[in-house]
Amino acid sequence: MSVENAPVVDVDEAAIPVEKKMYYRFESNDKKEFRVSELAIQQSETLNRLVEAMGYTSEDVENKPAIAIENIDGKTLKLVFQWCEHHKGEAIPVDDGSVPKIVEIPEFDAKLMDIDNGLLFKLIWAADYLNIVQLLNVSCKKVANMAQGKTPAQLRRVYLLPSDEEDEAAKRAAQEAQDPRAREVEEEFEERKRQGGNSFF
Amino acid sequence: MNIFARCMPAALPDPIKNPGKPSPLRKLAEAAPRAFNMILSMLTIFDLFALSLVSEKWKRLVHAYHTAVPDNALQCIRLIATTKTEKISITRNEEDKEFWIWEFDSSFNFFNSVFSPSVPVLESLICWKEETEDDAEANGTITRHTLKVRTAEWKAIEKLLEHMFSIFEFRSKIIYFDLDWQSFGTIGFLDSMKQHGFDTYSYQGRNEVEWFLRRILTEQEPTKNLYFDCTTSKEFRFKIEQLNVENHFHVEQSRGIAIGEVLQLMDKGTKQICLHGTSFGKFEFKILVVTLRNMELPKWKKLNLELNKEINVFNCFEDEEILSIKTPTDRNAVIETKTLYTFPLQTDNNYISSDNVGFHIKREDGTIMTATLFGRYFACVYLQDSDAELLSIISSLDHTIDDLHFEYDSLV
Repeated sequence: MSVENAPVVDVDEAAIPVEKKMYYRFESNDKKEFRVSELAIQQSETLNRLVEAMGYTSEDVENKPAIAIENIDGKTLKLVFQWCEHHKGEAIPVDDGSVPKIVEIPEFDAKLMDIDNGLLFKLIWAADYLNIVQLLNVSCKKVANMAQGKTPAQLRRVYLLPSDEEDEAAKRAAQEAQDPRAREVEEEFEERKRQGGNSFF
Repeated sequence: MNIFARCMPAALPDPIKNPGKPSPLRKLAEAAPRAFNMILSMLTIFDLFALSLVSEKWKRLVHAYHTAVPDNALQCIRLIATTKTEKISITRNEEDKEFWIWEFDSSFNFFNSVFSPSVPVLESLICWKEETEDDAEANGTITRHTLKVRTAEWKAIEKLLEHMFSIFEFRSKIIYFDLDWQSFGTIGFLDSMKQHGFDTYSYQGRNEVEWFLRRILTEQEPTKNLYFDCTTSKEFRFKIEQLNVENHFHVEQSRGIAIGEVLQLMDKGTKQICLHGTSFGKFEFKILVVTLRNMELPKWKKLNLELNKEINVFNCFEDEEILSIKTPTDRNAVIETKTLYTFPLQTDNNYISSDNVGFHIKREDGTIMTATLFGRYFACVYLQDSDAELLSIISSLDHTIDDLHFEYDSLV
């Protein structure tokens, strides 16, 4: 995808410093490109360190290939960068280790996370991977809120958690129907797990 | 039929779609443990408890999360069983005003439920009706979250406790067990169960309670306080010397407890011991006082006893030198080891008559132990903080049996 056609995350112009605006280009694992402001990137410790280490100039950003984020798809990355742009310039919270952790979900974040559970878990994983502390806090809070007041039976349904019997039945079924392709998939999954689980979704 | 079969779930769970596919939350536990732990840290106690009941795998995950971080350890668990109610209550911190309570309720209407034999036993015990109430009190607001558990059988309570101890770590355990407020056979829930015609009810009277007590005292032993008031058979014994109770050890029916066991408890560091209905008389009291005079007891503070015979301190220690002092705060008295100093006990408390007596004993380590005898049968032996403080402390000597009683209201 060319730079001109890349989807651009909405930016609040008024909040951006007047003197110099630098936008980095990132590419998801499904080749979707995003332009993200320098200030927004600061919300992600991982990306911030990355761009600092690269030392790009404004020209480099335009002329060099977009920075590839190979583990995250475009749909998830779009949410991540929307969140970063909205919260740019905000202080990054420090974990005080308190239990239970008290987190409020702002209105913008609540709307942003009004998504299906699959995407929500991808967002959590991306926030963890990119080390975006506050996004991790609010997305985890959203998942924790789903458990509120639920019975074990309801939790199984909400989080798609099998019971012992279902776990056992699934294992048996998998063993019985082990065709070469199924074995391949299983081996691939095990291999990924051994490699540290980076290719999560 | 299983004893839990009458505890029916309100609704059956929907079947899981794609049962072979790992759930996102499970995958998160492996691929992003930080995020997974963060989610668990945001769950309430009840939510964590519910998650642990989802499957054996989740029970292990909740336990692993809970034990991984020392800050996660819960401060206190209390088992409260009285003739009116049975409760398990948990607080996160020492001074926490937020209580998580499992209240056992036998009056739940079982007929409104759908029975499924496939629902795991523990899950079927829980009605899962959460209630939260705030009480404004002098020291701030107390919040109680209550989860109704639809049974009041000891086996069910034991099962639930066992599960809690398998998932949570507790710094201290308090057991308050009082079934003798009225005679045992008339406990309310027993009658109401029979009225509903549940033929599966397995009440076997006293034996069942004794079975529960034995389990609770040996397997889930109290670590902070134990209050135990329940008439047991003569054969009922438990090895109290094995217990490690930090603060209060209070038994109402103590006839089976030997003097050696009491001394062992003190030696282990129990601060306050209160035994009613003991089989102790003059002989045991003397042994106790003489032993306490010489024993090194870094933590022990008070011992309260109801003796089985009226004793006279002068007869009790006739081979000892006894000096009388006019008041407990007689500034002219020089207290020496090997001498008992008696003084008249002055109090207007209703429990105590004017002929009560108190006496000081200087211990081997130099500390002062004071014993007071109330009425005909009650003795209270307690350690003074230090010689220097003795006079000021005992100047307001008004210790009563009530001092050592548990404050039930302070438990929940």
